[in-house]
Amino acid sequence: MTIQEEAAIIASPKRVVKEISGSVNGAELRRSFSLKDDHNREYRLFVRRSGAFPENFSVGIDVVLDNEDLPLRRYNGRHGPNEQLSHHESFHSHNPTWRDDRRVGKGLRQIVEEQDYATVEEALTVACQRCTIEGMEDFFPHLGQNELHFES
Amino acid sequence: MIDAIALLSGELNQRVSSFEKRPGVLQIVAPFYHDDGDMQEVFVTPGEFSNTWVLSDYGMTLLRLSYTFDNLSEGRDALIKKIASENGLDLVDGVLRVVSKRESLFFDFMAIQRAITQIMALKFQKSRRTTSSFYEDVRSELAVALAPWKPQFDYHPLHERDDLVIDIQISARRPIFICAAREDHRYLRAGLTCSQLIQHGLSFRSLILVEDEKAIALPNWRTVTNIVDKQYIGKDEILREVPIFVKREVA
Repeated sequence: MTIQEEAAIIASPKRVVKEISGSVNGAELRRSFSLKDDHNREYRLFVRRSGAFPENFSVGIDVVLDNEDLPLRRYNGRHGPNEQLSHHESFHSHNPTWRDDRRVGKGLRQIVEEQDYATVEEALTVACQRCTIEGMEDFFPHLGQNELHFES
Repeated sequence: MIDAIALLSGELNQRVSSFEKRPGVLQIVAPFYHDDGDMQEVFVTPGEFSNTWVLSDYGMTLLRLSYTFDNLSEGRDALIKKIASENGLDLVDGVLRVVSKRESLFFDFMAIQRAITQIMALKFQKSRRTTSSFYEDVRSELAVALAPWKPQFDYHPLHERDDLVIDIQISARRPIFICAAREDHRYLRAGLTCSQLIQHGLSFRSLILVEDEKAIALPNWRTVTNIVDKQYIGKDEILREVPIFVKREVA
């Protein structure tokens, strides 16, 4: 995949088709959705939050290419240090690594410190904005109002 | 608990530290990473007796595995239990943990790190979403049907552009470039590849082989139809018509 192809995929408007699975156990949250864009490309979006440490969360989006899930982005909470921010916890996103404008592997090793969100609710809002996702408010009626209800 | 961190750090070349995750819970900072660059999460809490500690992942490993699998199959669930057991760990309600003491702390710590790595490797078991063998079938059957014309596979028409790839090339007065497309994005890429080659001044005949036109978005279909010479749809038509087309062009 080239950087231009990935940018087109990110920018392509996506709509939620259905919820694939969902569970809430105390503070722990696991919900997943299938999405589709105008080119019939399929996507999977997941929302995860630890019950023990609610600041440990991840909102991720994968695109289905050649019948396999290819991770596009992760918007993560403060779950500990990482290779690029090795001495402190921070909210951070994972992005693909590029070499000569082509994606290196399937991993998301490019880590960027994030200041646009501090909760899983805000991370989901950011994910929807940056990855052009529409229709999530059907599943989270208070999306963008910083007051989400996570019952599935 | 600082004793435990000091012990581990001594064993690991002073590369271990910690921070307080919650009162009475330290998260261990050590050079063990997931493949996305995040540090593997291991926590230490005081044990029941002096000089004992509990090492635990607080369920973070299986939560992270759920990024890949929404639900665990019975087989994978059994495998995770086996990994925990083989590494001498308890697995209770999705939490890996081990009670450790001074003499075994380093080995228990390495065991939980090893188990996390082994469990996360299960994500590579994720199977492809469908079992269509369109690409493999078209390639192998056309290799036989087009054998008299010595087809070249994965052909790069321009040396300086290794991103422009043709699935099958047949040499002729005007070479024949054949691309197969099952998904919409592969179809569009095939059309754009042909378009770019035309812009580079190449003269050729182009074929796109489509498994099912319903998988292709109409705007893309219209665009690509204006670029390529011929499209065949469905495996039967492809295997019947492509050799006829090639024979006529090469004659």
